[in-house]
Amino acid sequence: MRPTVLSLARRHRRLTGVLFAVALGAAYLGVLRPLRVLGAEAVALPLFEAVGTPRAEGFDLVARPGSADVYAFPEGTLTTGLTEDEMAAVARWSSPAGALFVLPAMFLIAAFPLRRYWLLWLGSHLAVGAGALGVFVIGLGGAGWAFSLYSFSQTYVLETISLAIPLLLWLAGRAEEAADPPVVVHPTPAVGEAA
Amino acid sequence: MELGARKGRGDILPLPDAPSPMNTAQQLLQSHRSLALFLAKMLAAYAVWFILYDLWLLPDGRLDLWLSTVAATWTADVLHLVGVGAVAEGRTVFTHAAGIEIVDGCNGLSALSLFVGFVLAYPGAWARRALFIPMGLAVIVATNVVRCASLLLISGWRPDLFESVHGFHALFVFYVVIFGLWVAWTHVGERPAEPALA
Repeated sequence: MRPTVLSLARRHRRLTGVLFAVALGAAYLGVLRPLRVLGAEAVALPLFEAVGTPRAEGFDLVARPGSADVYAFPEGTLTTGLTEDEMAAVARWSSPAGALFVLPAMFLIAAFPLRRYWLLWLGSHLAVGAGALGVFVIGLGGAGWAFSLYSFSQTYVLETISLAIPLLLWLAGRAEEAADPPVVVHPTPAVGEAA
Repeated sequence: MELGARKGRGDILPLPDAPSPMNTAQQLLQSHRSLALFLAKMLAAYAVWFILYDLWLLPDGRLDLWLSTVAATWTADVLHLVGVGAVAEGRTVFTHAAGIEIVDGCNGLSALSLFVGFVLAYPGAWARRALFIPMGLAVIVATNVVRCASLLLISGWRPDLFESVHGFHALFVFYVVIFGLWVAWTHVGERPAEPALA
């Protein structure tokens, strides 16, 4: 019987995992990274500029070309020609699914090439990103504490999701393997065969 | 089946209920509730730290200054060990070719808190946790010292590479080390007791 692609992938699971991880990394660089930049320039910046509260008018918003970030500077900082120094920004919004998505996703796809964890992963990062977008809008338009909440979501929340869940999945996957190891068939000596 | 019963050549069957790092993870992933509870514990620890840091420790500045100064001093010491002349002055370390300042965001404090949060949330014996946390903190501080030393060397040798290596280091080095420490904790924290010999 001719081996199918799936049976080959199962047989060479480690190699398949590494190949998928490399492919995912390449897809990130080729597709997702430009989409993140587009998300900052074409979605987040217009949305933030549309926030029309008095507090929001106190910020100058900048999306640098080729960057997936939008910076909120205190009003006047840029027009005085002083700086676009990141340190002067009150807050920085970053498009979701950045490095904290792609690195754990590559790890997950390398460890479990035939499971769709990485897709679930992308979904969870996009969900957190959507929530964080709303929180940033609140920070921009209404309440300063929301910027702190946004900062928390982009550091500890993302780090918790991105490091702890892959670790649990990996440990659980190893437990499954240990409980149900791959069957190895040893040739049985024929009756009467010399030992 | 008895503990230690042998199957085939030399492999001991595990007890069905024997705790191991792997089935603890399986238990946490078993239901949305157990996973949510675990994540909530972690995030609660981080939230307490975040608020404490933002409201008190950051404005106070002493913890950051102390950690940055220690990192700068030890960076100079490490460079001396490898035969590079270096001087530390407060948060700043110099060689004959370059200098770096270890600012608040670069002293590894957030990495320390990230490490501790998981160890507090993941099941394990408190006595082992009390030993493991200081050891892990020491490993992260040592990692940061090596990182600062290599960054200082790079800034003297190839200043154009500094920014990219600085970003790379912050992301990869700390995360890889923290991930490794977390893996270690899943094995150390709930290691089953050795069976008593009959």
